[in-house]
Amino acid sequence: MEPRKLFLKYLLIYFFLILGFIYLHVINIEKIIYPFSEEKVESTVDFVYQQF
Amino acid sequence: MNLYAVHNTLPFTSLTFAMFMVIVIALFLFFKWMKAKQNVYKWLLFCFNLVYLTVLFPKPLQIIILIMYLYLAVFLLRRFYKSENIVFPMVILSLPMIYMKYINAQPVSENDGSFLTESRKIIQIAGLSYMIFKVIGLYIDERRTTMKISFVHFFNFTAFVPALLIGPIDRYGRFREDCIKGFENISFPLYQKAWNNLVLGLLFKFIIAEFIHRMILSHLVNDASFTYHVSYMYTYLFYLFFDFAGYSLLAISFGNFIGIHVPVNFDKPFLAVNPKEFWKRWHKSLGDWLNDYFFKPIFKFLTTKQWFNSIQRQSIALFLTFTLMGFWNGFELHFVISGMLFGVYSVIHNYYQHKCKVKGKDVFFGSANPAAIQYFSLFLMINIVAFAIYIFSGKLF
Repeated sequence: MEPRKLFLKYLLIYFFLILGFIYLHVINIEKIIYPFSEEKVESTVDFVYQQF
Repeated sequence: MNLYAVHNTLPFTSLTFAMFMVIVIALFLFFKWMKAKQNVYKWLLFCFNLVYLTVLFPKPLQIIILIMYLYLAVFLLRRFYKSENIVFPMVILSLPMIYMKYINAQPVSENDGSFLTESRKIIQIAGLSYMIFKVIGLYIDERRTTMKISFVHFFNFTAFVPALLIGPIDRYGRFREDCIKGFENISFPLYQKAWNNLVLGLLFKFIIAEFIHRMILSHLVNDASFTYHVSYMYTYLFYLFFDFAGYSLLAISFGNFIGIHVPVNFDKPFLAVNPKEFWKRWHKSLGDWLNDYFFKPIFKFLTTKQWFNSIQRQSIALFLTFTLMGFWNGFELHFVISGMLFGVYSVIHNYYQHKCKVKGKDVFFGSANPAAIQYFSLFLMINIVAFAIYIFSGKLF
């Protein structure tokens, strides 16, 4: 991949990583969007890999 | 979720594991910097795997006993079983997995003290199926060689922490080579690769998959309508992809940081235009494993019998391989049917390719625009895969 495209790719990856971290793990946007929903277990491991 | 739990830490699920990972990487770097002998590498890896299993893993005793059982089984089979038939060794090695799948399929009963409930607590070990698949591969590859399989290499291979839970499924020969090269493998280019995989893995698993799960999947209201099922189908597909591909990237990254070239597991699967290509892009290590240790032996067996022609043999072997994959996921009906459905897709595609070859033209698309064929195939693949994965999810039945 040419350097400019590579730079843009990683710029986007870091941007979404930081933005996602702030929204999901710092602000916890779920609580703002769904204020009345019940508290859920956050671990997704059991959800997908239980059969393995 | 307890972020600092001891004996409750699966790979890539908590801060404890992240801290453990950093310490391990630092140790490997330190030994490289100290110019430690190559032989030190396998012992360091052994200690790292052992410390994880005994201190952080949920069922330390059970998993150590399982590894001992597998080692003993491989040792005895290589020593005393001289037949070319690989079904018996496969069954012997798979026994713990078969039993686990069987009890998983039984109705859940909470602390009733029955044998089934008690044995469920003992044998339900995370990553058991992947471990057994790796050992079956090891046995088949090494059964004709006279080379001794050292317990340290065997332990490192089966209990390799980053790939313990859900792969990628590595091969013993390749893994052993990396272990022998040892600290020589740890280099700046591999670190760059490891970092890139780490960043992408974090984005996939902890941002995109978590976003889909927490913001969409958890809030879909099951009113049993068609819209609900369709929404769930596509959301689950993308959730599963980002979570699984993210986990695989993290496993590859951790492996790279300590000098192990863990095989790639996902390669843009939604760009696949047929089932054959899909399994080269989605859970690639499983696709390759199934091809080498299920499909090829079944096809070879059918060839010796002369009961069917070539295309029939291929189709039967394909269907049986994917059905076995379904059973590997679990004995519940939704896993088995999902596997069979993937088998049906592959058989149809196989017949289609055969017909095209015989007629010398595309029997379905004719002389349609190649770009249009490409887009239609992409669209069709995503939708049939979404349906099979939806069945796999167990939401329908």
